[in-house]
Amino acid sequence: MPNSLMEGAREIFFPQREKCCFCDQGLSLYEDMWCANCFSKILSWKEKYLRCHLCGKLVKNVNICRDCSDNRPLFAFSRAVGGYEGLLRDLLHRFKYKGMRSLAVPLGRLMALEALKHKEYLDSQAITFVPLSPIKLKERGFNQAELLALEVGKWLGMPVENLLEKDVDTSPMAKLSRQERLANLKGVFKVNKRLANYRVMLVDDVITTGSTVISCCEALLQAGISEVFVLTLATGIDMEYKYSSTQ
Amino acid sequence: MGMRSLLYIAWNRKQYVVNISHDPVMDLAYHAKAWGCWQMWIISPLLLLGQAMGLLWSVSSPLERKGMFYNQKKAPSSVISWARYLKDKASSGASCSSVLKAKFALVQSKLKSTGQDPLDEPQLVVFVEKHLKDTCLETKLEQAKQLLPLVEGRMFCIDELEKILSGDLNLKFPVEDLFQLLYLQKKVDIYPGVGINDKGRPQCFRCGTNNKLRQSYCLDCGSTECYYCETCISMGEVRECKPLYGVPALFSPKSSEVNVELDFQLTEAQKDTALKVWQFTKASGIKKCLVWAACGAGKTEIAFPAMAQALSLGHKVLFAVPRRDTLIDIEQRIKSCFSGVEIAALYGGSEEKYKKADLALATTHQALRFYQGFHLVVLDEVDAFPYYGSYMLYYGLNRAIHPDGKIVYLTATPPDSLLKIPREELERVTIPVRYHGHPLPVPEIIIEKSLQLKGENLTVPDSLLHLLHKSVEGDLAQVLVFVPTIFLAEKTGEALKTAFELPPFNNFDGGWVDYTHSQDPERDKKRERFLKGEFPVLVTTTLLERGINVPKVNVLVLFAENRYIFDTRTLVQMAGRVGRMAENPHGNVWFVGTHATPAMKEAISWIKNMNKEAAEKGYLNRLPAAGRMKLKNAK
Repeated sequence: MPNSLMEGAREIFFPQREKCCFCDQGLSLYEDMWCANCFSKILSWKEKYLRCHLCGKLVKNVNICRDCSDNRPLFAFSRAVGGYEGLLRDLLHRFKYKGMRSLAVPLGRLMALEALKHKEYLDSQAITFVPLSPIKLKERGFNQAELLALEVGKWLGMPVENLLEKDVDTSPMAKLSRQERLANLKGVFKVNKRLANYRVMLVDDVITTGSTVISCCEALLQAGISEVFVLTLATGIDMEYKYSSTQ
Repeated sequence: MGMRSLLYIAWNRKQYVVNISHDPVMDLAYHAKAWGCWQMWIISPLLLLGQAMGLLWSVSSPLERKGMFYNQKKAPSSVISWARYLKDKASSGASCSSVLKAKFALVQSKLKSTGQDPLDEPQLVVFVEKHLKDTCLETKLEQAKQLLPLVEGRMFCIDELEKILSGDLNLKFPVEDLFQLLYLQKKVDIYPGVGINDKGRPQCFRCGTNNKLRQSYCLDCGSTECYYCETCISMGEVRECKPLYGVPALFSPKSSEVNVELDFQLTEAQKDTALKVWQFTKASGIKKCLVWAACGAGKTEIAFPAMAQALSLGHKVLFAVPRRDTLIDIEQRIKSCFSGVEIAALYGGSEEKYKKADLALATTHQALRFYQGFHLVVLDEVDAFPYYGSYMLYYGLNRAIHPDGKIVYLTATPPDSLLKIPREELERVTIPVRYHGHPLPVPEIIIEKSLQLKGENLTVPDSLLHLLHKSVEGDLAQVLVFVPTIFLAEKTGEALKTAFELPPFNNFDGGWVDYTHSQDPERDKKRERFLKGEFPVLVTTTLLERGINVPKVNVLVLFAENRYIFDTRTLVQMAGRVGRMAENPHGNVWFVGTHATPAMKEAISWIKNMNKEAAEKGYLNRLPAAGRMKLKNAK
């Protein structure tokens, strides 16, 4: 009894401030979940880059990136919260590799905010996500895309469906080129049911060359889905333009 | 793998057991075989392990979990308890049905209060002979018996088991079943990764903390509110639905000679202390021992005889240090002294993390992987970061000690928490003198009010420059200048750089002064260069307060009135950098501040007491300077 009284008194005199999910600093009155400082860091790409109208990749001085002008992607279009650099990259590492799955909540909310800017996302009938192979899933313990998709679904009030399956364990893609990645993923994803006239939002954590997402789209389109809109947390930066601008 | 468990009561005519299980039929078969139990009532729905364990601890006593006879109660000790006792007697006495009724009602009310769905009515499972065969109880028990010695003394979750076994044992059955049987035999303790503690709050049972517990969707158990701990996530994830197994060390007495071969001679003072520590581990009824040594006294070695004694009895020994770099240093020394003993060095990134060894050298973080495993724990540098002030490491280290085990703390500056322990619980031993037999240099307090930061500029007063000049060009000694903050380190460094370019300094090429701090990417390089004697003055923060051995050095502490950073311990450690080598056993320590703080005075009195004790015991080659406190005003 005296203990709980003391705690009540402490709550009154020293109320615990909510902390920013990203930097652990206390939040001020009008901030919720993340602080203004972190939010501006996440959106800082807007000062430096434009984005490709189709795949959402960050580019300089052009409207459509080189990959998309060479051959048009299979998905209708794709958007991301920011570039795969700086704070967002750090957050994604913490979330994906260090296992801090509670970050799914704020990151999912960031993605939902991005989705609200585009009518197409809201018109789609369901959210689905890029699957992991069973071996990888066991190793990591969770599918980061699934957690993000569940959060996005919660914020937008849309159903999340597990449409895709990945049976084969492919080698890690981080060091492969675009062509190698596409070959690596050929026919790996499968859709477990037939769906006609269905529009879906496909969620992934990061899109760099787009090969994973394109393979998923292939499988989804074969199953009869009419359009796929891709939403990711981070996106690649077109290296060529990036270097030419710094030189 | 996500585990869901339920509570049950199993009984026969004489006694009953309240416990949890993920597979009640197997438990029933075990109870039937062990003590002739024939009925089991399931009294809770399937719950996450953390919830189920919390529920079990709140509704049952340790005796009930072990097996309690119906009328086994303590003799009443007061009038009220006599009244209760008689009332119980008068009603009906405890019987199986009344126990079941009481427990079931208690469990349901607890479930309701935590917002979970209660069970409508308890479910009965009756034992039949077929269960023994279906659950393969005999073979499981056999395999569990083989498993036990391989994991003794450890605390681990299932993911780690593979690495611990490293292919030694081919398991045919689910590990959960085997450990559940060992748990029923009271050979293993099961904890949830994260669970409800006795205060009714969630807590991580590996690191003991509760400030970074997060809920998330879990693919294993399917719950959206499964807790996991982010404090100790770098050691692998622990979750509410995953069990943690704690296996106390099995004690198998064996006597084998363990010899310590030192490649140098211990001094008189070291020998006396080593003898006292050895006696403490051998005979004393006290469980904790503090070895308070002068800085640079050679305290690590004095624990070796006691460690050898414990090892020769067949006990396991842990030598823990807070930091990895010191551990790698000590590993070489210990390996050369203890030949013929299995030694494993455990630190983040070590390959021997799961090796079985009699003597484990570990960082304090790795102690979290052990459970009642060691009869002797030696903890070096109790007051060093990150152990000092970390609840997680304190919790982990204390759990690693066997209930009959003992702990020896080695330090030059014991923290208050240790000094407050009464003498009946903590044995204190001191080594008051350094190995070279000279007294510790006593610091001098200098009151200097003109050393202040005005705007952007810091001017160093002439009196201090005179001190530095005398030290650098007169004594030819290097100077370590300590300041409280990184900002001041930069400012002081720059100010001294400009001051050193002017007379009286003969600093013709420049570069006599450098500064470093924890944010400096070149800190290790600068430290190396300073140690080689390439430049005479290094300005630093408390980064270099320990673990630096400069051949001939004086120490100057600026802004020493800053009591939050320069507390007694820090000041003693900084003063301890001076005169460590036998060739140059003397030196000067100056505390420069606007006024003399209690911490400065206490630091000086600690050092003087050490010297006094050393003189009394006759360890000193030379008597210390006169005992009056010198106060010198530079103005």
